[in-house]
Amino acid sequence: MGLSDKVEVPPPIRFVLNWGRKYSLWVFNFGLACCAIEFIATSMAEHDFIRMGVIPFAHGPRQADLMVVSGTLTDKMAPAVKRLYEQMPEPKYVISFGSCANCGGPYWDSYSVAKGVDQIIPVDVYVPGCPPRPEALLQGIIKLQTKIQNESLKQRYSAEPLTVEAG
Amino acid sequence: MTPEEIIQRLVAELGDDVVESETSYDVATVTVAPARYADAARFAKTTRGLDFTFFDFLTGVDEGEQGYGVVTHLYSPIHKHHIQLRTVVPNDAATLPTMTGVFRGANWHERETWEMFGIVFDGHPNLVKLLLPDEFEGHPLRKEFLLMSREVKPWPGAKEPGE
Amino acid sequence: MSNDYFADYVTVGSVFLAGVAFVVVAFTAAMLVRPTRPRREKYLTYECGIDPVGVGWSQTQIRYYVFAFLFVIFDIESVFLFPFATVLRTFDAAGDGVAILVEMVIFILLLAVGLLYAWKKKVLEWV
Repeated sequence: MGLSDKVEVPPPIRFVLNWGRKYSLWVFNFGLACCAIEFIATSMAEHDFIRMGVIPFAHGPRQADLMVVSGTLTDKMAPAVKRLYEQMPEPKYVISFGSCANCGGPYWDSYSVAKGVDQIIPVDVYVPGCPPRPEALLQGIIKLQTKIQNESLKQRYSAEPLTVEAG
Repeated sequence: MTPEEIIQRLVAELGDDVVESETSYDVATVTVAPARYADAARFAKTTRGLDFTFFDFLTGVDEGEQGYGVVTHLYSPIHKHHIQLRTVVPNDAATLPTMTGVFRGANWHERETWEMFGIVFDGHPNLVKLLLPDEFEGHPLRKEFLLMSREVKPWPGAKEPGE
Repeated sequence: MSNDYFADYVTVGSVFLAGVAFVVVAFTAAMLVRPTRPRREKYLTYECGIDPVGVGWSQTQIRYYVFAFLFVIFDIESVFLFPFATVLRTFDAAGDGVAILVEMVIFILLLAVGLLYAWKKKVLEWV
């Protein structure tokens, strides 16, 4: 009987709900390759993304609402990514981290690599780089938080294309 | 032992089955006939003085017209010398005797060489796919294997790799 | 007077009701707010993304229960021993020291027989 995706929530309540949602992201690190090391570096002391409210290393997909796919997606791994994405509860967000997850990266012509994780799951923010600097992931998280602040869940879960206000 | 002495020992044992041999960077590379490949490995492992007891890797090389090369790198921790045992199998009759009787670790290396090149190892206990997904068809590391991405979109760089 | 009598019960009851109300309000608000998207995969067992194999149940190890049980018994024994130790001297001064010491030794011996039985039955082994 959830209402937030069926009813257009009035702006003051929407502000509060979005604010709460954007500052309490639990991240499910789907680390596949070298970008996972950069993700771990971002979660450590020097560039800390926990100060943005993103708590690292959720215990499983069911306790997460942000999935960061970092690394090369091979054809053999693709069903697992899809299954884990579907096991996450709504509302969920995906950051594609690194050029392999964005578009296949340096392995675009390989016989076993999927050209980007957006071939199987919807992606909210793409962070380019090979591997991206930890600061790039921090910027990606901030961009995602801006997107969450300005979104309405009804629009996100409807079939129409999403319009995101610039922010 | 120096690489030349190792080569001499192998030639003394296998005779005409040693097709060619060379030395580079202090490592002897001995090319043997395909039928005696496992025997050469067993001789290298069991002979006093050679004692190549450490199996490093077994892999394939697609050499175009000449066939598929198969290279095994063995090392002796006792005498601290290396050897590369090489053989060449023809493209249309790509079979080799298995080395799992000599080195148990060759099991997975031969599985990978089979799934990537199509070289069948006679006597291998479990020749099934190791790394590729089950539905994959073809042998990817052969030069004739078409990369679909390259067919659809040509290489964007100005030069082909290798030019 | 009757007000005082019921005052504590009213306090406890209201705290209990506040706890219940807290849970009800929090869960109802969450249920109202969150989007509902039931999918078949959400009810599958989590096994790192691959299809789950086997049954999710496993057999409990009995050794945990046995050790906890023995601990409780000997803990109660020590609860009896401590006050006994404090009053032994007064009884000794009155002349009955040996008698109650023998009583306590019989008590300990009974429990030691039980421990010996457990030992012989091999339940003291952890693996």
